[in-house]
Parts: sequence; structure tokens; C-alpha cells
Amino acid sequence: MIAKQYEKVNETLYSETLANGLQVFVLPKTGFTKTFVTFTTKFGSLDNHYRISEGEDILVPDGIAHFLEHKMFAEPDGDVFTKFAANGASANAFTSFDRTAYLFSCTDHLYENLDILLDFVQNPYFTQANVDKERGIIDQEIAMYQDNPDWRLYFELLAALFVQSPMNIDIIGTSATIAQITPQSLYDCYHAFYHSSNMCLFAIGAIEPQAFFDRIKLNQARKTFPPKPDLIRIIPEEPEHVAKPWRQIELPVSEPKCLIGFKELHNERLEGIELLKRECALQIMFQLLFAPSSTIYQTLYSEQLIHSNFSSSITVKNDLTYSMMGGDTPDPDKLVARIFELVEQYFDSTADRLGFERMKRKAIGAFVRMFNSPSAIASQFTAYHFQNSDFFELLAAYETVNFDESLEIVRNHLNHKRHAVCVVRDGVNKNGMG
Amino acid sequence: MENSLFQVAMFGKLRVHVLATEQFKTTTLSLYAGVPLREQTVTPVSLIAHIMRRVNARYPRPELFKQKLEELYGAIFAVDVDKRGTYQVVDVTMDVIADEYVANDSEKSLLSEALRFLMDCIAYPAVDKHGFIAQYVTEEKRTIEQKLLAVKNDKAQYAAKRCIETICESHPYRFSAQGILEQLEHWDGANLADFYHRWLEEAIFDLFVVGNTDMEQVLHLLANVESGMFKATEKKMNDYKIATPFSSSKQEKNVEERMDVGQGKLNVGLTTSISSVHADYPIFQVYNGVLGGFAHSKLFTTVREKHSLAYYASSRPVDGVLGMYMIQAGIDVSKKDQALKIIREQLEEMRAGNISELELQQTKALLINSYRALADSPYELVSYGFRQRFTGSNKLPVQWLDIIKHVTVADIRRVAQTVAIDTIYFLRDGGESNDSQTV
Repeated sequence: MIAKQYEKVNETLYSETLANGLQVFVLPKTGFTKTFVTFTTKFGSLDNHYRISEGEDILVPDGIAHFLEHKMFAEPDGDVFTKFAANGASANAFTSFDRTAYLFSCTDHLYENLDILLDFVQNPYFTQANVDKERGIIDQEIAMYQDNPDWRLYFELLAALFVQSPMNIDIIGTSATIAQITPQSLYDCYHAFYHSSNMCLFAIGAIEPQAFFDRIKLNQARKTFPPKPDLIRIIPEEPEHVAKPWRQIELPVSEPKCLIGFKELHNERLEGIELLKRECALQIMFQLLFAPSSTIYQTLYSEQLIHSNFSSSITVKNDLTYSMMGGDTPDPDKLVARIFELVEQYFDSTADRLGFERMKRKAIGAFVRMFNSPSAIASQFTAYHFQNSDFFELLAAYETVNFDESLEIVRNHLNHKRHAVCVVRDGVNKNGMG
Repeated sequence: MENSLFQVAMFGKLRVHVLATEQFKTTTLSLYAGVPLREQTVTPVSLIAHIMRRVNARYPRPELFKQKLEELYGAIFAVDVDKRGTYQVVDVTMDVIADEYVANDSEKSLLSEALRFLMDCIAYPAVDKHGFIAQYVTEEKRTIEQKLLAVKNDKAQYAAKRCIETICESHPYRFSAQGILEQLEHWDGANLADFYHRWLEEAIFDLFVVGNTDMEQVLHLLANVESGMFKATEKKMNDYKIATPFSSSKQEKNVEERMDVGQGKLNVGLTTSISSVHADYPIFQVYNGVLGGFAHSKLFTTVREKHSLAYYASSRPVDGVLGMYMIQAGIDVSKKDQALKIIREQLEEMRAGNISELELQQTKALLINSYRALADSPYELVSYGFRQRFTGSNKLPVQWLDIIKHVTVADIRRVAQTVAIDTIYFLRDGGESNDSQTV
């Protein structure tokens, strides 16, 4: 068990890699009543093309990682939610582009719940009948998202940005793609991606670290694990240009929704502190450009081009960065044009060094505040861990970035040639608005 | 065990509630201001809250206002307007990093700065010689209009709202806490300034503080920043008056509306005489847990797991005081009758007391878990504190869970007899023929 101190936030993180390859992290929180445990595999919607050692290339149906997540909860002796509930634990799971997480929180019976979590995720049980039944449920989940304009806007924009990368497919798939999923295809994915060496367990809350590690080891010692599969992910080459610069869909909305996206491929793969520094630089610059305190935001607000739901986001991955900005607007074309003009004006104006320091403070405050939220810490830590970065180093990274370098980075990122726009409009042009 | 979660003291007509703890890395401040929910005042209250969110007298431009918050290590500042029973409550929340975690160059602590900022927003709005500044009145009228219209974008939210409007045909709860669209045009800087003073006069104020501080320090800081607006008046101290819960209409109301959607939204609106001030309310919470509050509940296991009809199928209290309760499911439009039949069967199971020991035990365990977990979130603690204040209860979380532990199937069965369907609302495909009409 290794203990790592993070003095600035007054926290200690304990970690250990078990014999079967599983990495375990524990962050005890003094004074807290609740414990939050996540068990995550590095398998998401992006991992749709792979082979095992010399075997054939396998291209899986869209939405299989998410389908597998749903079906993990089935056990021969019934539903896992029931077992958690009996121990007062509230359980959940989610699937993203690059990971699938299973989690519970509880204020009692921690070890019983820990066993339930480890046991159900390490024991797949797929039958034709339970797979068929799940399709009806996921079909309704898909239908729900199809009617959700913000969800559609987000995924349609990604589809407009990405040409080859599976970033351009919806995490949950479509009715047609999930129809192709069989118990065998689920088992294949499970054996390829749910090996302990591809997984990470993170626990935070009212925990005694040594006892917790002991309990996990005891659980794992009861099971046998196959050798680590020689997993090769097949990743297509993504070009610099975007797939489609303008995309529009029709849905019942009160006003158009508009989102602008930028894609930037990294020259070299970024990991560790380098990845964090880039993220910090871009986060601060995006705040300076688009936060409610910015000239751009207040100008767009006064010009009645945006509402209070205008927002921006930046995502830095190992191999690429993408960002988005937008919200509800009466006039998407004008909004896009104005954003480009105002961003240019910002780049031409005098250096906003004071603003930079202010935004750094804001970012540091947000980081410290996150320690009040164990669920956020668990999710963030694992996301960064799978990118070979340490989430807790973010604070140090914020302290190293400066204005001039950050300005250069954001200027490069917001390159007109690599952007796409997605718009959701009302299908029926009732009020004849232009 | 202490006999209350928050320490309480009066500061003029402001009731101050402090929970001193070192558990968190922030200090959370919430100022609640409640007035009766009325057709004539719901709109200006919302408008004031919206303007308060953007400017005050010390920071009369939105950029400056936001920059000040950023300087305070990105203090959270949020203004919410909400309905509770027969009241409209504005809640101004701030959350600042505890001083020990940041290098603060100022002599003033982040807590004292935050408290000043919060009080300024209430006591010193940005005004000019005409009243509230016209630009912000105009902009926030537009924001409210946009919010009211945008409800239809989220279909589940829209269906719930329409169902509530149908239940509350003649009750002020049918109004959105954000205001009434048709009344926005009536308000300008001048009449809003007049209204603001009446609102201050009438509102019931409560301040909640959770963090590494204590009552003495909070009262001391308040004395330094406060303008005199909370001076105790001659009038009797205001308290929230709790309304009687709805009684269900004799006949079930059926509403079906169309929009250009793929998935149908089925909302069943129910009423119960067990309101959140009723002694049986903890039993009602167990009732809700068994019926549809969790993933082991009857609705989830039948509508979703057994019949694969829905991704979500659940129940929740809409307004505890009014005894308003709702079941919701997103289903294929052709499956409405089947889903409704299953929902009715589950309600019948509850009335018949067909509840297994396991269902009861799981539900209690999860409710107990959520009451215990309250203690880990400053926001949850504040919201629990206000709920207690609003309903005039002084039960501690541990006392709630003690009652919950002892609930029996017979208790639930008794409570189940008070639950009745009021409205069945269905949003389905087909678009156009209908748009939302206000009831």
C-alpha cells in the first residue's frame, strides 16, 4: 500500500496494484458518513474495433459497451440492485466514450456492498432471454434521448467534427445497431475489456484504508482470473479537417439551439503533467473568453443573441482536444459570426493578465470545492487515471501556466478551419421568424 | 446527541441558523426569502431575483459583479426561485472556499466578503433615479420569457408541468415560480422598485450557514455589513403558515396532448392527505420507496424490468405540503394502456398491502442511507434545515430514521388508502394539432 500526500488540499491517497492487475485507490475522508466506490473498466464507445493477439479484427455494433453495462446487473440469482438495496446502498453505472463505471454509495455495510460490486462485475451472465428483454428497455432509453434536443445537439456536433474516429457515434447506439447484439458478442467484449488489468477501483469516504485493501484481496483470492488478454485496439487515423462544417436537425424547440465545436489533433501524445498543463491553459482562456464575466458573453447577452444557458467546454484527451460553445439563440448564423468577430477582437486587444490571474483563482477554488463532493472526485480521478494523468496534480499544473503561453495555445485551438456548427430548429416554422 | 442540527438566533427579523463544522472545505451561505404565492406578485418577485443574480449597487455592471465572485476564488453565487406549498421562495446561495485552503492576500476573510456580497444583493440593488436599471429589467424579462417557453424543450419536464397544471386548475401552484408570461410587460424599473420595498417588508427571511465558523462570528459579521433592513418591526414575527393538502377531485381527469415527439410521456398525478407536516409522513416516504422511489421498487421492477416498457418508471412527491405526488414513465406511444394498467395494479397492490418483507427492508435501508448521507453535503444540510423551518418541525435526521425503522406493512396500507389518482396526462406523437395552452 502506497500513501501519497497532497498537502495543499490536506488529503492522502492510498494505492496498490493487486496480483491480478487490478489497481485500487482509496481516499479516506475524515468526518464523512458516506462511502462512495467506483469500479471502472477502460472500455467505452470508442473501443469498437479490436483484436486479441493474432485473432481476427472485430468491429462491434454501436452501443455495445452501454448495453453490456446494463446487462452486467443481471445475475443468475436475480437483479443486483436488489442486493445493494438490502444493504442500504444506492447503486448505479454509466458508460462514456472511454470507460464504463459501476458504483455504489452507502453509509453502512461497506464490505458487504464492496463484495456485491466486485462479484457482479466479475461475473457476467448473459442469456438470449435477458438480452432480448433489455433491448426493449434500451430502445426506450434511445427514444428518450432522441427527443432530447440538447443531447442530439451534442452528439450531432461530434458527428460533424469527427470523420473517422468513433467519437462520431452515439454512445448508446441506435435501435438497429443494438438489434445485432447477442449474448456471445457481449461475452466477447467482456473477456477482451473486463480483465482486472484493464480496470480500476476507487473508493472515497468513511474508510479505513488497510482494512479496505484486505477485504478486496480476500474477495479476489476466492476467484481465479484468466491471463491478461493481448488486447489490441484498432484506432483509425483522424484527419485534421471536420466531417461536416454545418449540420442542422429539426425537433420541437422553443428557440433554435446552436453549438460550435473545434477539433485539434495533438502533434504528439500528451500524458501526465503535460496533458494537465494544456488543459489548465485552455480552461483558463475559455473562462476569459466565454464566462459570464467576459466582454464576449455580456456583449452577446446585450445583443440578445444568447441567454443565461450559454456555456462553453473544453476536453483534452491524450491525442486530441475538442471544445464547444453555444446555447439557445434566436439567430444561429448571427451568433456564430459574432463569436468569431469577438474572439478576433479579444486576440487583438491588450493582454488581460489580471483577468488570467483571477481565472486561475476561480479554477483553484473550483478544484478545492470538488473535495466536498466524493462522487465527483471518484469520477474525475478515474477519467484522468485512464489517460495516465493524476487528477490531484491539477492544482500544481494551474500554478505553472502563464498568460502568454496560454494565449498561444487557445489561439491555435480556435482555428476557423477546424470548426463545425450544429443547429437544432423547430420543424414547423409557425411564427415565421427568420 | 444535540437537540438540533443548527443553532438558531434572531438578528432583527432575520432568523440565523448556523451549523459549525470542519468537515468541509467551503462555507455555504443561503438566504431564503418567502412570500405567499399569488398571481399578482409571482412575476415581479421572479424578476427581482433574476436582476439580483446579475448586478447590485456596489457592482452595477454584470462583468464587475462576476469578476468580484471570481476574485473570491470563484465563489458560487446562485439565485433560485421556487414554489413550496402556497409560498414563493427566493433562495440566494453562496459558497466560498474555507480560508485555510487558499492564500488570501486580503485582510478580510472570504467568509466576511461573501456575507457582505450576499447581503448587498438583497439590501442594495443596482438602481438609478427611475428605479431598477431599465437595461437589466428588459434583459431579465427576456430571460424569464425564454425560460418559460423553453420548458417544452425537455419533454419529461414539460409533461410533468402540464400534469401539475391540470391537478392545480384553480390553485396558485399552477403558476410557474419563474412568473407569468403575460404579466412581464406590465413591469418596468419604477414599479419594480416600489414592489421591491413591499416584498422586503413582507418576506420571511432565514439565513443558513454551514462551515468552519460559529454563531458568534456570523452575528458579528452581520452587524458589520447589514444595512438595517432586518430591523425588527413592531409587527408580529412572520412564520410560514402551512396550507391544508389537496383533496382529490371525485373524477379522474384525463389529458392527452400531441407534440412532434418519438417517445410518449405518461404522468399520473396523485394526491394524498398525508402532507409533509402530517405525523404519518415518514410512512408515506416508505410508501413512495416501495412503490417507485428506487430501482427495487414496484414500478421499476414491473413496468421496466418485467415488461420492458420503459427506461424510467418511478414516483416522487411533487409538493410535500400540498400532498401532491406523481408517477412518471417514458414509453412507446402504443403502450399507454398497458403501462397505465400496470401502474394501477401497483397502486392496488399498495392499497392491499401486498408488500414483501424484503421490499420493506430494502426501502427502509435506502431511506435510512439517504438520511444519514445528508450530513456529508452542505447543500443537503441547508435544504434539510430550511425544510424543517418551513414545516415548523424540529426533528433531527436521526429521529426521522428512527420512525422509518419501525414502519410496518399495516402502516403503509393505511397510508395507501389516502392516495388517489387525480390526473392522467399523456404526451404523445403527432405534433402541431395542439400546443401548450395555459389552463
